[in-house]
Amino acid sequence: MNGVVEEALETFCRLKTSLGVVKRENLLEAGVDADKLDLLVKNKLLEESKGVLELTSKGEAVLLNHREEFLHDHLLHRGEAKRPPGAMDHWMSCHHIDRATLKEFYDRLKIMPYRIEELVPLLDLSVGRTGEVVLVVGGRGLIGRLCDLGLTPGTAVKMLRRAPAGGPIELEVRSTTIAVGRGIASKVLVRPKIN
Amino acid sequence: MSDRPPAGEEQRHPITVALAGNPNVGKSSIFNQLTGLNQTVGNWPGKTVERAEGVLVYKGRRIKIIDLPGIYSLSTFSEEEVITRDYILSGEADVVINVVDATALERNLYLTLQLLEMNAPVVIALNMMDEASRKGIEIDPKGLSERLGVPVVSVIAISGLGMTELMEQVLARSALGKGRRLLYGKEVESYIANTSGYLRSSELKPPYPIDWVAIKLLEDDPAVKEIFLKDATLLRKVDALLKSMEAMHGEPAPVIIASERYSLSNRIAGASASQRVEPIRTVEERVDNLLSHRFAGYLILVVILGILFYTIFYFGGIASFLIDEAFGQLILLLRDPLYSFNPVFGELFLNGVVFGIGAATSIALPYIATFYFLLSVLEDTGYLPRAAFLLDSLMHKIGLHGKAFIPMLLGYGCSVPACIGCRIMETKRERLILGALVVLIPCSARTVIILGVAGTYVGIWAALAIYVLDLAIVLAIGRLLFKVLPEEPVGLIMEMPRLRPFKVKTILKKTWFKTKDFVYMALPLIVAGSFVVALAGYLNVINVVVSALSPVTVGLLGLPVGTGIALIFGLLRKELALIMLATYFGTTNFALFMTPAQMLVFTIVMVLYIPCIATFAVLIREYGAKRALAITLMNITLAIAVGFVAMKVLTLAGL
Repeated sequence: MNGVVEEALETFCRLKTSLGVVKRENLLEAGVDADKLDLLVKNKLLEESKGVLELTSKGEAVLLNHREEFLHDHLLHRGEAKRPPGAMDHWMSCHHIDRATLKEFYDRLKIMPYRIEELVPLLDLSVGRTGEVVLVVGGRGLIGRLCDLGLTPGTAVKMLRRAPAGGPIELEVRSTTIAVGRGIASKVLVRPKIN
Repeated sequence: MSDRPPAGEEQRHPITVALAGNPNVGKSSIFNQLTGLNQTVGNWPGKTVERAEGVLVYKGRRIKIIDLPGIYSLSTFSEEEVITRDYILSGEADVVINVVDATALERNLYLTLQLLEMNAPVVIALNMMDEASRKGIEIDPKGLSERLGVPVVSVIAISGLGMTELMEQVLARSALGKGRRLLYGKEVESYIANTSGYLRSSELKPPYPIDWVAIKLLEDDPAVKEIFLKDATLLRKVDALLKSMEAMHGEPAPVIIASERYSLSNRIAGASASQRVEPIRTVEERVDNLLSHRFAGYLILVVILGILFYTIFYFGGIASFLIDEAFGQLILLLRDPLYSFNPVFGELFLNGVVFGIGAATSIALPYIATFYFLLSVLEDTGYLPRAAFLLDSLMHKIGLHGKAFIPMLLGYGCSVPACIGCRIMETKRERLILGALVVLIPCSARTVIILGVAGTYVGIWAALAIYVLDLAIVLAIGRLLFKVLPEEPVGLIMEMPRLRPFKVKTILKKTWFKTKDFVYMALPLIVAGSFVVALAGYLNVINVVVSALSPVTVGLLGLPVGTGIALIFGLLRKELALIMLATYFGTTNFALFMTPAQMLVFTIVMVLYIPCIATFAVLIREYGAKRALAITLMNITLAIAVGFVAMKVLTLAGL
C-alpha cells in the first residue's frame, strides 16, 4: 500500500488548493478508492468532520517525507543513490541551503499546491514549452539572484534553446532572454504548462 | 547638446544627476549623448567598479552627470548594487534618471520600484521605443507616468532623440525634492507599517526613508540589520514579523518582497503596454538561432575569432612597425643635438623618455586600439554573451562560467584590460582564479615574440604549438585553482541582450576612451621603467644583472647568458625584449646564437614568466599587493618549470 497513501495525500493537496474545501466525494471523483480513503482516516492521516476532510499533522509529515524523497530521488539526483538518512544535512551541504532558508524550504514543500510528481527540473523542459517556477533548491544567494532577474515563484518561463555539450539553457522570462547554467537549471523546479 | 550659457550664469545652480538602470538598456549611450567627450572615467573610491562622470551645460545650468553601474536590483549581492544604493541614499543626486528598456518594461520597473522605495527623485527615460514597436509592443508613456507618479520621457538613446525633453524634465524635477514610493499589496503593506511603527519608537534613527528601512528589514537585508545591532529589541520584534510573514507564504522573506515588487511592476507594465500583434519570427531571431547552433555556432565563433586576431596582428603589426620606425628616426634626429648639449642627459632622455613613449605608442595605438575597436563591435552587437553561452561548459571545467570567456579573449589583446575585465565575475574567488589565468594568456606583445622567434626560425607550426601549449597550461592551472580554492563555484545567470546593429560613431568613441585609459595607465609606467633601464645601462649594471640571472637562464634552461637581457626588458614591454636581444648580440638573426630548441624554450619562458609592469600595477589595484605578488610568483615558477621540462624533452628528442 506504500505509494498509494502518498498518491492520495498528493491528490488531496491539489484539490485543497483548487477547491478550498475538500469533501469525501471530491476525492472519490479524483480517483481515490473508498477503502483507501477509509484507511487514511483510520490511520489518522486525514481527519473527517461533517464530510469535510483535513490533513492531520501526521498526514502532513507523511506527505512532506514523500515530497522530500521524490525531490531527492527523482528530481535532483536521478540515477544516483537513494536518499541518504539525515536529509537536512544533505540539503545544507549538497545544495547550499543555509539554516535560515531550510525552514522556508520545508514550508514551501509542505504547502506546495501541486502534486510533487507534476514538477520537473527546468533543465528538462523541452524547447518551446512553458513552465511555472515552483521551487528553487538553493541558498539565499542563488534564490536572490534568480528573483532579481524575474524568476520569482509562480513566474512563467519559456525554454528557448539549449547550448550544446552540456552548456547552459536560454529562457524567456518576463519578455527578456536569460541564460542559465546547467547546474542552476537542474535546481529550479517548474511545473510544465499543459499546451 | 550644450547651448551657450549667459556669462557667469552656469556656476550659480549646479545640478547633480545620476543615471541608473539595468545593464544593456542604453544607459551609457544616454550618458554619451549628454556629456559628449566631456567625461572622466575612474573608479569608485576603494572599489573596483568603474565610475564615469561628465558635465553638461543646459540652459545656463551646469549639470554634473554620474553614470551609475548597470544593475538589476538594489540588494547587496554585488559591489555595483551596494555602490548604487549608497549613492542614491546619500541624496547627492538632485535627480535620478532611470533608463528603462521599453521592450522589457516589467523587469526594468522592478528596479524603478526600488528606486522609488528610497524616495529617489526619479525621471524615467523610456528607451528603445522603436524596438518595442517593431516587436509589436505599444507603450503609453503618459499612462505609465501617471501610474508611477514620475515624469516619463520617450527617448532613442542611440540617435539622441528626446534628450532635450529629458533635460527639460530633469530641470523641472530638480526643483521638487524627494520622490514617493508606490504601495504594494495590503498584506505586505501592513507588515511594512508595523515595522515602521517599531522603527519610530527606536532610539536609532538612520538618515534614510523610514519605509525603505522597514522594507529592507523585512527583506532580511544584512547591511540594514547591522545598523540596528544595538537595538536588540527592535530586531527581535521585526524578526517575529518576518517569521509570521514567512510562515504565511512558505517563502523566504526576500522572495516574498521580490514577488510583491514584481507583481506590482507586472500590473503597471500590463496596464501601460499592449501587445498589438503577435511578434513575428524576425530575422534577428534566425540569426540568433544560427549563432547558438550546435555546429554552425562554434564554426562562426572560430571564424569571428580568426578574423579578430588576424586583423589585430596583421594591421597592428604594420602600424606598429611604422611607429617604431618613426620613433627610431626621431631618436636619430635628436641624438646629435642632445648629446652635444649634455651626453648624460641625452642618453637618459633618448633611451629613457623618448624610447619609452615610442614603446607605449607603438603598442597602444596599433594593437590596443584595433583590439578595442573590434571588441566594441562584438560588444555592441550583443555577440559576446552568445560566445559566453557557447563556451559555458568549457569554462565550467575550470570552475568558472561562460562569462569568463570575455576577459580571456581580452587577454589575447592586452593583459591590462583583461585583468580589469575580470570584474565581470560575481565573486572574489572567481575574480582571483580568472585574474591568475588571464596573465598567462599571450597578449599581443607576447604574440610578437612567439611569431618573431618560434614562428620565424622554427616554423609556424611551432608557434601554433606554443599557443596550444599555453592554452593547455591555462586550463590546467584553472582546474588546479578550482580544486585548491575553497567555496562553491557560481553558476551562470546572464541576460542575453538582443542582437542589434552597431554604430560606427559609438564604437569609435568607445575605442577612443578605452585607448586613452590604457595610455594614461601604462605610459607613465613604461616611461619610468625605460628610464630606469637606461640609467642601469648607463651605469653598466645591466650586465651584472644578466650574469646574476645565469644560474636560471644557462643552468636550468640551457639558454645563452645574453637572453637574460630579454627577461629584464620583458618586464617593461615584452616585444621590446627582442630588440634588446638583437642589440646585445649585435645581430637580428637569432639563429646565429640560439638552436631551434633554445628558441622554443626561450619563447615559452617569455610567454609565461611574468606580467609586464603595467599588468602588475593593475593586479595590485584589482587584487591587492599580496595577491598580485602571489600571481607573479606563480608565473615565474611556472615559466621556469615548463621551460626546464621543455628543454629536457627537446634535448631528448635530439633537437
